[in-house]
Amino acid sequence: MLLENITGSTPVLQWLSMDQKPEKPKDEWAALMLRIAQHRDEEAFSQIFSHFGPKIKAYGLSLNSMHTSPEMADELVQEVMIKVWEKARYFKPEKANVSTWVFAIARNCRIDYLRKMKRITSPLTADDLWPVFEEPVPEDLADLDKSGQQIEKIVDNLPTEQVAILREVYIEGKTHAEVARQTGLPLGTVKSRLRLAMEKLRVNLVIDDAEVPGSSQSTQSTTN
Amino acid sequence: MNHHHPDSQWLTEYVAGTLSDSQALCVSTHLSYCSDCGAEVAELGAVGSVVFENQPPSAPVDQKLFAQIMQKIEGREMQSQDQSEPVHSPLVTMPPAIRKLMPDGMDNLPWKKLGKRIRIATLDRLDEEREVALHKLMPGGAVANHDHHGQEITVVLCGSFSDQDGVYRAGDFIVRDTGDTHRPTVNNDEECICLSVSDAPVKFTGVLARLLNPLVAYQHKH
Ligand SMILES: [Zn+2]
Repeated sequence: MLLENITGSTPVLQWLSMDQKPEKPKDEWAALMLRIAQHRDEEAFSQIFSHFGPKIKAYGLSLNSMHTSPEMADELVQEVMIKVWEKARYFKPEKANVSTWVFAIARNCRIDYLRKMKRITSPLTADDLWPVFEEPVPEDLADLDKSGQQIEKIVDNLPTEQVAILREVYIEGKTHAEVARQTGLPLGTVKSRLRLAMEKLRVNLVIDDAEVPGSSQSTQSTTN
Repeated sequence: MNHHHPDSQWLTEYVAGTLSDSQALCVSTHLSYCSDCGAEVAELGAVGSVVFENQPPSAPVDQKLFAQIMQKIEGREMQSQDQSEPVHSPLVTMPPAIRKLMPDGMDNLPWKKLGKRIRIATLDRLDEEREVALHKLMPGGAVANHDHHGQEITVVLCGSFSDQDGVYRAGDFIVRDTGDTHRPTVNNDEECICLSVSDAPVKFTGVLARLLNPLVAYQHKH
């Protein structure tokens, strides 16, 4: 059913010339990944590129480093997209959503790029230390797609100072200590803002999966 | 069933990619034993991806890039695909990153005797500031009081040991700071092997180096 929704395919060029990013429900991104994995579908790939290319570029440009440059950001877009294509078969829609997967690939490519710029030779790559392309072991990941969508809503409602710190940590690649130094906030405040954001996320997630056996029958625990 | 986990700062910095390589090695090693932290890392990754999705728009991506990417992909597909690496049998259960750090197997590492019941093998450094090593603790009583300077992260790979603070089993993640001393004792009769990442001694370079380095080495030994 999902596949039918999107196979009324749009020519590649039309997608490429679109300024506005195509917004899609998450399941449709997953369906595009499946088409890449199974059919080496270039048109599906170009849709992924149109949406994620600018995100990856912005992520590259945001890195808090002397090695950040527009050339580096473009190289990052290339590296990440090539991995998305080559490793498409490792994407498991039931385990994670597409943006979580692309974010992890972009993080690893950015780490490897930085290592190359700093001329550090290492026996290990970022993919060895932050494994992305393997079977996830824990069964706990089954609910992830659901929680990913909830997290999106909750992140939108966080206070700006918490969102700002999430951005510095996840996008600008600053350690907690660097955030503290650069903002002049005590390390404890940085940690507590992150913790508050995470607690808010967790509380909201717990309320939404209130079907824990033994928990009191709350009025919210209706299934959808 | 682990009892000693990296705290949320460690996990967040791991997911954000801001840990050094050797610190990341410790966290990823723990993750290969601990599904609770695995679930938390998955959740943190979902948070990161939302922040990633909601970035303010950057300069547009040059559409020529797509053609370049397709060209590179075609070029690469002409070459043969990746071959799988040989697996060194006694280590099959060990995390792949650690296996990769000992291509000739664990027995062929340059183990050094350090006191009666401890053997240490130094692995390749992953970053300048930290030393990566395996510690093998032997059964039969307390291991000689081992002191360290700076921060030391220990992840138990197999076997188990105890000290005054508790019992540590395979997968446990322990952070100790300067000045903490402990006298581990191996539980049961089986060796206990741990991954250890510690702040490397400060190395002086330049003119003064020859004068100062022996002093540092001396301090580090005692
Ligand atoms: Zn854990």
